[in-house]
Amino acid sequence: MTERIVIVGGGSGGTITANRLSEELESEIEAGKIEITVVSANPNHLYKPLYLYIPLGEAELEDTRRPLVDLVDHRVTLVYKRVTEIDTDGKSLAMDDGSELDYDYLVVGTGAIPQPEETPGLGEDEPGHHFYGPDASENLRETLANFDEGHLVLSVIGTPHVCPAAPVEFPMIVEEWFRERGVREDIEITYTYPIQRLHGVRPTAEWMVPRFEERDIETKTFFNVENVEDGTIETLEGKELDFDLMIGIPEFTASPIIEEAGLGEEWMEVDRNTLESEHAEDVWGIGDVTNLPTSKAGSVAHYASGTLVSRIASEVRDQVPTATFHGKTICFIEAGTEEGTFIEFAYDREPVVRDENRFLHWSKLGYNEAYWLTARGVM
Amino acid sequence: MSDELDELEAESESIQEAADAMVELQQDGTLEDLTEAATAVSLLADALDDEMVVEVAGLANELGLVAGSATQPNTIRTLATMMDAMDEADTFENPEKVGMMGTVGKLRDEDVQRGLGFLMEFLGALGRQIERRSEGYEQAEN
Ligand SMILES: Cc1cc2nc3c(=O)[nH]c(=O)nc-3n(C[C@H](O)[C@H](O)[C@H](O)COP(=O)(O)OP(=O)(O)OC[C@H]3O[C@@H](n4cnc5c(N)ncnc54)[C@H](O)[C@@H]3O)c2cc1C
Repeated sequence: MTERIVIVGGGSGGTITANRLSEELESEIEAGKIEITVVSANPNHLYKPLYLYIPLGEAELEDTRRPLVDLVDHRVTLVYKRVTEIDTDGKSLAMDDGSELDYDYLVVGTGAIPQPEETPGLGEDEPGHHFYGPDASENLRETLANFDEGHLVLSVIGTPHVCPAAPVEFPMIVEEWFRERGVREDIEITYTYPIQRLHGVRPTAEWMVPRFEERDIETKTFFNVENVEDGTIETLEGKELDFDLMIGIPEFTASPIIEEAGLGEEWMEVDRNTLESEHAEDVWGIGDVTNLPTSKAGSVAHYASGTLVSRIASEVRDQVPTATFHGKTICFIEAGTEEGTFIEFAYDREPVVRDENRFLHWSKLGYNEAYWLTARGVM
Repeated sequence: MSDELDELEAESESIQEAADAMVELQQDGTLEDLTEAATAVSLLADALDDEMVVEVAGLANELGLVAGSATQPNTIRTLATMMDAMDEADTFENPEKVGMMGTVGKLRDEDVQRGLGFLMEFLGALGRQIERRSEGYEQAEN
């Protein structure tokens, strides 16, 4: 009898897991014991970190995506549909076209979905911009290209935000970009964050303080955006801030199918070491959809997939799974357009942020080009 | 106050360890090699620019994607077998001309039959992979 492993989501977590699983279970697949299927609502795989560069004219939309079929191992069946329901008792998925798909083992990697609409005044055709989607980042490019004087405000609205680095990088990059364009003197930049320091990750916050000061980037903490109107941000604390261009880091949520399936209330609830669902048998979570106590970053999905693959392979082979995940997270941080650094941490290891330099900036640029090898499971 | 003392003590310990490591590197000659190698790193830093990094990494990415498929164990075996066969056939200098009747005759040869069997399997797989890709590209474009 053939057992079926189904992976929902063709993003970083789902794609890397599918590729590594098909490699690991090669002989089982060849013998017809195992079949691997990826169900993805998007037939393209997206490399979202490039959305940050689109507003600055340094990346195009086509650079951010590749057909999933070019990246997923040929032994994996691809199904281009949206999952609308997960029935963990009947071990079956319902799709948007009314069809069903049974599974023996299920991996959920549906990501975190930006919710700009949750903040009145943020989103398309609204006064507040963001760069967490293809249209939004292209709109912002148009606006930024014509912005040469006034007050730019970057506000982090909700936490956790997907990618801990993006809100730190954007003001630093845009500040240097304005200088290169010779308009910096006519532009004021303010960065706001909802809690009492500049970033949720304390060492990152500490690293930011002198650098933002040096660059004359104003900061406001304990600043919880409630709504954005023409020219003014109002906060829950009753503060107001005027702007000429507002960029928000929106709130994120898991797909509603998670809560409907009883897999978690806010995020998919998994064991932080085994990635197994806290609520259902033979179900695992990978990437941004999970409640793992670390950042929502591509590197987490990447490192966790190693553990996941090893544990599922053990289950398939009737062995006792022993591999565990300890929260390894790495994020590059661009400190402007010429230098970069990175943070690395784990559940029980505090991050250290090194001084920025050119080599780390080039490492980030290089990785942006070679990311597809990570998705393919090569690197 | 005692916190500061602890910190100072930890710091001086680190300085001592770093100095010991330096002395060791100096004595065994590694430091000199490193200093020399550092000038090459410095040259690299001066010579590189963003475009060069992007170009090289982009190329490595495409090569890597091909290598990712080309290094599957079955693919390696098949490629190696084909290369061995090329070496063995070695008739490109003056290959025999084979017409319709000749082909029928050659088909009686068991080795040719085995080769054909492989080609048929390969053609079937090629058809399936073309189908898989073209569906994927069609979906991705919409
Ligand atoms: C602007 C930006 C910058 C970033 N920068 C960095 C960075 O510098 N470094 C870093 O490490 N990370 C960064 N990230 C984060 C990184 O992109 C994510 O952490 C990573 O993509 C998470 O992978 P995932 O597989 O969990 O989710 P995703 O990559 O979001 O994939 C989710 C997949 O699930 C599919 N899906 C969703 N719902 C369904 C459904 N119901 N049925 C079928 N399929 C479904 C989607 O179509 C998609 O294919 C950034 C993100 C953004 C947005």
